Amino acid sequence: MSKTILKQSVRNNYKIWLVITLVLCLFLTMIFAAFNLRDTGEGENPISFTILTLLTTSFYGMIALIIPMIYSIFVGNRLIAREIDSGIMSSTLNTPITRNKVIITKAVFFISSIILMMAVLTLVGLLMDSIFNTDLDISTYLLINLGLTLYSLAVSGIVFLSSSIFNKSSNAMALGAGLPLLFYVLALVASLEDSFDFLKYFSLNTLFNTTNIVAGSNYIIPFIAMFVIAIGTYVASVICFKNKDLPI
Amino acid sequence: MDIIKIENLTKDYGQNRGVFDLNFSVKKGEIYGFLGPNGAGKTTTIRHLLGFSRPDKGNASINGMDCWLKPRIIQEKLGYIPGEMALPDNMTGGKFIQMIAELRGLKDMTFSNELIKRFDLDVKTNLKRMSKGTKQKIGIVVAFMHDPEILLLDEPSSGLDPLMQAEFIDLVREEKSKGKTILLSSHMFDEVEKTCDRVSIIKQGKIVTTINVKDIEHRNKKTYEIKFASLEDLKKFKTLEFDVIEYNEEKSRVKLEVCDKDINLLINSLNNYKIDYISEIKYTLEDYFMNFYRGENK
Repeated sequence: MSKTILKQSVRNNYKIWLVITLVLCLFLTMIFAAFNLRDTGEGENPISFTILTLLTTSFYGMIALIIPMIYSIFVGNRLIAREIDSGIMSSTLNTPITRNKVIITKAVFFISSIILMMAVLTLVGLLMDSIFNTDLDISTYLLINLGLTLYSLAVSGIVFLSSSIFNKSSNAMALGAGLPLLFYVLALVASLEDSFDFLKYFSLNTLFNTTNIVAGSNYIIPFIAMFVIAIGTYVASVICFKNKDLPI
Repeated sequence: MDIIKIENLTKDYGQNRGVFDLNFSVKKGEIYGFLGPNGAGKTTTIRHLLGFSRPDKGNASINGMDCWLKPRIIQEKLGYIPGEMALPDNMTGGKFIQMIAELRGLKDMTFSNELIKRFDLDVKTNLKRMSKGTKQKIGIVVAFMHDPEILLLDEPSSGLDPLMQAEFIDLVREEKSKGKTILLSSHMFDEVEKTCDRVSIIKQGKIVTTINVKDIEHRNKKTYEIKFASLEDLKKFKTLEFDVIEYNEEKSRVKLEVCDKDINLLINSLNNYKIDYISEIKYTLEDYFMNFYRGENK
């Protein structure tokens, strides 16, 4: 770990982190507010869905996946591939700082920034629950957020690995952004059309299944799988970056 | 003692690009010049010395340590000016210099401040708004500030104005007098001639020729241009025996190569003719190497 590189990473990326986190929390807040204003349908047909149902169908199915993904794609690309492509990594590596130190520091920054984002999101949700009195099932809510954190870390790992493999920012972007988006689309198609159901086996998104989490079944192994993917991609990034030729 | 050593270094990028079975070494306190057209393999060689590239074959070593395996230890004593200064765009020059010093663990900024003053560098400007020359000055400060034993300079004075180029040449000479070992890649013959002890020309990844700069300075053969007042004089003169390298009837002019010991012979013989002028054409490194640049000598 290098304190200087950590500082530099924070300086370069705190703005996009703030914007993304803010947007994410705004969406969450809006959903709590919308639930609070809902037509409770008193009388003949009481509508009996909970805040958790609304959250899993509207928020955790799309917005909570895509918005942190955008953060990962931009920041992951900027941390390595863009510095190699533009050549500015040269001045960092022309010091006694090793490649290992550079990439590990950047990985720690990236992982921490995502965990922090998810922590803020979770706290904002808990805060909204107490403000709007929405009677949230807190343990399930925390479990869903843990799943989202693991999913986002796995996505960030994919972007980070792609950023470590390619020396051209555009190539790193193509794989790093393309793969998570492809996973998203495959999961979407699989859920919409029964005959394409098999596609879900080719998507990371299948591992983050809110229905299973709410039902309290079959979520532990997918969680472990996402954790392994995250660790695996980050470790592969370090190995790859350490051993490749740098055109700088 | 060889500080920088390149042994059988091969890195093939395909299409004849890269370096092929390259061998050379730089002794302690020596300035070694590296000349060659664009894409000849100069930067590729330097990349290996920095530990950025893994050789296909052979190896690059500094102070006896393999550059690919021991970059950390080597980098402590190394200063490098890249061929193309790529700097972050969100900080001032001063902040950047400070950051590199932090990465190096350098606390004593005396020499850095001296260099900033010497090269008249405005450190308050944002890097993004700096001209090429100013960025190059940043590169100079960053490469020299920790007083490294070894310097790798890749076209270090590109973008500098003539005044600063001269200042830079002075700096390099001073560092040499301190016993620094320097590898200088350049296109500027003048710079190389003024600083280097030995010069190699590299082309298509191979060293074509190596020369001691002193041999060029102290050649005992000189070239003279003689303009005669009339063509008749020139025609008569032709019969005498000197090495004629250019013969121009139109301008009644001749260029001769004359050994120093024969110079009186030339002057005496010229007595018999009416001449407009005689002037020595200084033989420079450029003349020597231009042939190789153009690819006439293979």
